[in-house]
Amino acid sequence: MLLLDHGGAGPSCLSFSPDSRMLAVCDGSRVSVWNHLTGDLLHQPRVRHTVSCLVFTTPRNLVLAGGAISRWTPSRAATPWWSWPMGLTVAAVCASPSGRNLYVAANRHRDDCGMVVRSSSSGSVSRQLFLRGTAVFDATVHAPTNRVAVAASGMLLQWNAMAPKDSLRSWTQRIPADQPSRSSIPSIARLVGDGGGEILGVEREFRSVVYSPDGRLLAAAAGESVEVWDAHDARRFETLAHHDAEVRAVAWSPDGRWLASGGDDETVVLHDVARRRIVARYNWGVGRVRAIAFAPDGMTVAAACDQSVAVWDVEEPSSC
Amino acid sequence: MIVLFADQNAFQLALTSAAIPAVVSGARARGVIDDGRVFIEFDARLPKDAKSALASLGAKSIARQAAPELHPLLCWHQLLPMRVDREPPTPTDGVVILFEVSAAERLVELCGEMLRLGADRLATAALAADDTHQPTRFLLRAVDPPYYTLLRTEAVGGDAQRPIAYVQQRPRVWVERGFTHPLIHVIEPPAGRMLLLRAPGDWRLVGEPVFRDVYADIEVRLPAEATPWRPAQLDARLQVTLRLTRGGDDAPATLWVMHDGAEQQVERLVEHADSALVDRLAFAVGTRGRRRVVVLRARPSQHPPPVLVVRGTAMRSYLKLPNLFVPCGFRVEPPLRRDVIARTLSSDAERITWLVPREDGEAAFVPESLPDIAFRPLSDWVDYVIDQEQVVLDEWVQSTRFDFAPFVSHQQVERAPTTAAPAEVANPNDPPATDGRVAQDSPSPEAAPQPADIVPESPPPRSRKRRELVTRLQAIEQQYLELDAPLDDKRRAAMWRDMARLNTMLEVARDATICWSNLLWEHPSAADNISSAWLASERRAASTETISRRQLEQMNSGHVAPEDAVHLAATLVEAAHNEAAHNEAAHNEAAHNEAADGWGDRVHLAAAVLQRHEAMLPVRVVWLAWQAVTILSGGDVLTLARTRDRLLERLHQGGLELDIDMPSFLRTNLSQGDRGRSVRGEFVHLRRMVHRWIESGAATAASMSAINTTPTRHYADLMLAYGLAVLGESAACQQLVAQVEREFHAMKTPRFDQVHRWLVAAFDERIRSVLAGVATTTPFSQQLLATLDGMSRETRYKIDRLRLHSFILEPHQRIDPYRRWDGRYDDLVRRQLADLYEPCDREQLQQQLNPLLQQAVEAKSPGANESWVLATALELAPRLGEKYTREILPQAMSLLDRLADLDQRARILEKGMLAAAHFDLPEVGRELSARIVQTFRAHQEDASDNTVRSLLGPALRGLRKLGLRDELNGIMNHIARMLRSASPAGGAPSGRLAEDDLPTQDRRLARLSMLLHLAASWLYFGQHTSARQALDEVRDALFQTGWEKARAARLARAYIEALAEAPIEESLVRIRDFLQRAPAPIDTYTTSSHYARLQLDVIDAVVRTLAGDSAAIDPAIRRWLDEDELLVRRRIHRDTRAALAAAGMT
Repeated sequence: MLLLDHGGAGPSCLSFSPDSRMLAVCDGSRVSVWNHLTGDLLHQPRVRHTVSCLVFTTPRNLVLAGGAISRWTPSRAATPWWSWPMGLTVAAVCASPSGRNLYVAANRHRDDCGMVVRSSSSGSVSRQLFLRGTAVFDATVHAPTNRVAVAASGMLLQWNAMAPKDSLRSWTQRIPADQPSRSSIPSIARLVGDGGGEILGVEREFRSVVYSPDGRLLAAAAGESVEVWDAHDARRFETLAHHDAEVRAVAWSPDGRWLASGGDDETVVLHDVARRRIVARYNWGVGRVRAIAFAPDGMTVAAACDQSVAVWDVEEPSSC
Repeated sequence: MIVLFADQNAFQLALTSAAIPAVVSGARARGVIDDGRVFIEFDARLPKDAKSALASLGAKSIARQAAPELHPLLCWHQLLPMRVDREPPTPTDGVVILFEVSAAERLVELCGEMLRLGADRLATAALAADDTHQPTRFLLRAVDPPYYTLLRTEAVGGDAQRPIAYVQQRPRVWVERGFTHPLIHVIEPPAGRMLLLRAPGDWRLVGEPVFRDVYADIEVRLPAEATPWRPAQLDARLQVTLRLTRGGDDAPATLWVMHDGAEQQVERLVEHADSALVDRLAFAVGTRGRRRVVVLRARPSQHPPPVLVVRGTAMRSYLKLPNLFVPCGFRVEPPLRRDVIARTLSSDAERITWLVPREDGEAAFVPESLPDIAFRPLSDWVDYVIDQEQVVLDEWVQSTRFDFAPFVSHQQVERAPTTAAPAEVANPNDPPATDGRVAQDSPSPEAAPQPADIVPESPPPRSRKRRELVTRLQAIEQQYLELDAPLDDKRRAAMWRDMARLNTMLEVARDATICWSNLLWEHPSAADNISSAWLASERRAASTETISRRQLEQMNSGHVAPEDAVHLAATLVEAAHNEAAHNEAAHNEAAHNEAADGWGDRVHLAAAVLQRHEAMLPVRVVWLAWQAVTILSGGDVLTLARTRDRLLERLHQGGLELDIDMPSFLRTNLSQGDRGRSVRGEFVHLRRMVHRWIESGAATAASMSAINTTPTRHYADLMLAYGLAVLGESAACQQLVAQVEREFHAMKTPRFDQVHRWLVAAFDERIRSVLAGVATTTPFSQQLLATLDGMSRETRYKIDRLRLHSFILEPHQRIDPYRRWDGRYDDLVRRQLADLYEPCDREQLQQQLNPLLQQAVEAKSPGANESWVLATALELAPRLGEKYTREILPQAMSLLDRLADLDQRARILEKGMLAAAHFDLPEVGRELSARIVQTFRAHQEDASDNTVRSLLGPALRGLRKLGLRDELNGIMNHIARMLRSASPAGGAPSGRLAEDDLPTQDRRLARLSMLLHLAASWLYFGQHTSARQALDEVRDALFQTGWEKARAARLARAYIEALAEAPIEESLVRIRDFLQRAPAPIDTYTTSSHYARLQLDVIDAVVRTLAGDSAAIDPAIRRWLDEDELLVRRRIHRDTRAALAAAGMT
């Protein structure tokens, strides 16, 4: 168990390196890279733009996104990689496990948002999706099935990142500019396999979203609950209501066994979704939980809280 | 406007129901409560709906003249009287208390008192009257003030000027401690102001004061000018001569120094002692000039040191220093710190030092020493040869090795002869015939064997007669072994009788005691002759013939030899038997009085002696003696019940002990070889393999190359050192510990930080306990535990995590490493349950548990909480007592009917089985075993390996202890069928999954875990072929790649633990194979900064398997001990229940 003092404003996003040896944390203005096993602060890359989210694409390659997108490696300073038009702010960034594709979700003027899929090597944009009248909070990708899920204000949707561009465009055009209601879902929902995408949930603030490692389930933070969806047939599988305040972050363990959720009640709850029970509850006393991530080897989990980053060991229920 | 409310309830309702707008009720007003009626006058205009709401509450407007005298109020709420707060906050964990005093002098006095009592987080402020600006009241804000000071504020009828203590119950609302306001949650003072509420209705609104640190306002003056002294040196260091004085603890002797006649004594000892005793001893010979000394030393063992009756000085380890010994009953004066003693008297760790009192008095002593390496196992120097020529075996030892000078005993001359009169022992001494019947020929006096401490001038019997007795004894022992009947079969009783008599005649006192107690145990009704024969037998070995009050007082205050303790027990049993016989006869009143008077005033003293020394006695002897005490004390059944609890705790901790409770012929015949000896030589080689295995883990994980394996290797070494200590290799163990400590210290701060320091000290303490023969099941020393309190939670976590996983560090206690974090638990109940593990007495524990059980039952959704509470209660059953456990077991059974969650069921079943085994409740064991089968049937597919471990581990142990072999077989057969049905081949039970099954690692792990439990069970019952197949399959699975690391470590640990039941040679082969071929899991837990936890989990299992408490015992002996323990427990429970029933206390 470690508490990492990030300093500054409360950290908002964190990412483990694929070899589970480093943990990167950002809070909008500052980025820290830690050896979370020893508690040593390894690097504090200097970045010229705001950094609201970050992700490791390879063990030593960190993508920093906010007002723009930069790349950083331990041996080199952060270098600008991708410029954005003014007024566009990255809300979420994720990478395919191979690091080949980068999925970036961004907001513009609070009422329009979009998401693009960009090749890390060539820099070309292969797909893009625009949504009107909403703001995106989080996005996640399941690379083997090319599904991308977006948590937005009043809407939770998933789309096929390999769908034909035309069908994707026509699908997004059918989503009303004002946020869709429950009654409008049937008219705009389409199977992902047929191209385009589908709307799963509406009329709630979806703050965080993540696919289970096998891609079968999709967990989303919705108000004070966590909704678990069957990603194949767009059916709500379970609603987990174990928090006393808004849930801000969700994360699956790499083996898909446990789902962690955390939020404004300063608590992280570890769920055994298959058995429909709580495995453990943690309150580290360091403020609200903003983000959660499991280490890729599944041995540790980290939570970005208001005052610190808590890193602890994931153990069997009987021993934790 | 004046409004009249009929009573306070209506008034309070008006305030809480929002009938009165907050603006109105929060404004200043005038009011009074008169004869229960509430009058309130206010200036604001009430809205229409408020008026109608007031009317509905029965309030009415009245004229000014109709109201009594009204008092000014800050707001309407002030009119409600304050209530007593029954649970005011106590000054712990950062509670802030505000004290108000009326004068500056009082403030100084209060500050001084608090500072004196250790509270220094103080801040002061002054309150001035609005018109004068002169401070009229003073405030002192204290964090966690002394309880004494708080109590003074509550003094009734005392000083009117006493300080008033306030507690903040709302932001900026301070309420007199011990009171609260019924509407405290809505009271909100204006910004920048603070409200002070005193009972019954004194409200004061003051400006929010600025608090200053107390030292900022205190000017300290010296009473006189300081006198500066110049430092100087003493003329010379103070010389203190150490002395040896009587006192100290009554630790048993572990070193015997013989100056005179030592060789003959050792010769006598090895001639008469059984080989197990010889194995427990090391010896060394020293010379100085023409003088020679022989030193015997008890080799380290988990069991208490042996007791030797030799002429010489019996020594005990001093201050637990492994290389310093003082005579028993002595201590060094003045008392010095351990390290000072070590530095002064035994600075050379490689020499064994003992202090010999000088005969010229003055408490002087001479330190004598020998190198540690001079001590060799005594067994290595003894050759047992066949007495083919029917002559005395004078050449029992190689003369070149054992060339001692003759000696003369002085002590023997001083001691009175203790041989019992022939008439008294005639009966027990009647030797039995070889066919088991009592023989007619009694030994002639010249043939009688001599005790070990008799001078060499009267040699022990080596005559034909003695050999005949030995032959007869061996024949009966053989009959006993060959008899295919339960241990409590009546035919065995005759054999115990014969063996007891023969051992008495042969003066094998220890075996004689065990035989007599077994005989009495099985046939208490025929105890008349047996108890007197036993007493006669024990008299021969004891130092005195009778036990007087004076002797009892001496025994109560000093060291007692086991022979004397047994003698006391036998005396009590005989006296109780006489008492019972007299009571039954009831016709010889005089004799009855005589018997009762004989023990009446001494029985409590005897009980005290017995309780103090009962650990050195066989369990049966202890129980028989306490039963006797109960009879002699006139039926004190509560004492008997307490004895039952102590003995059950002793059996729970370590079961029957090989050295104390088992006769030597059973040990010798059941043992298939010396497990310890096989392992001892292996440990050095094993250490190299362990190191290579640890290094291989780091090497195979390319990206982990930065991992420092050094600390992990050191901890593995400490674990192996523990194993060496258990196996009695003290020199090698100490060498290894010293080497590890050197290497740790070489790391230097900050790398050798608090975590490493504490863990090294903890391992060291455990190892020292083993070397000193003290059980390692006890908690760590207070000193060591106290150092944990000062550590940060993160540091402590790393320590507690290893404590949780290492059975060497914590054999019984399960540490929750997150216990220090608030919010770790789902709710208050879980936190309260965690607190129950803190030490407290039985009644306190029951009082804490009762409300939790009640709440859990009454909760709307009882399942989870009830299961937690019941599981905790069952886990704490040994501390809660049998009666309480019997009360909660039906509740647990009822809950099992309702519980669907597998893990919760498993938890209840696991703890229930342990409780049933502890209190010998076979009917509960049967019911639980049926439910275990049910659970496996219902959850065949989703049981995790942890669940399997919870269900099968305790089931194996519990059902064995309860003697429920059929139920145990039933469970294991069901598991075998389950595994067989899941096996693709459909043949032997297998952990493989069928092709169409989902091959998740968790399910595979669960099945392999079942298979390992099955294999352990097969090994226990001697079905080695089936067990080997199962073990092979798990081994092959272990060597496969692709296991997730934590799961691989769990499987490896379970595999190695299962090997504890296998023959030692097979265990060794498999462990070597494992270390060579299995990958070492490297983890990235937050503890990996200090150690690789998964690797240490496996090493811990290896050490426990090869050198654990049970590993040193041969499986056949363990089976015998298990069965015998069952008989003992049953009898203890049966007797206690009968005694309680007779006393009308059931």
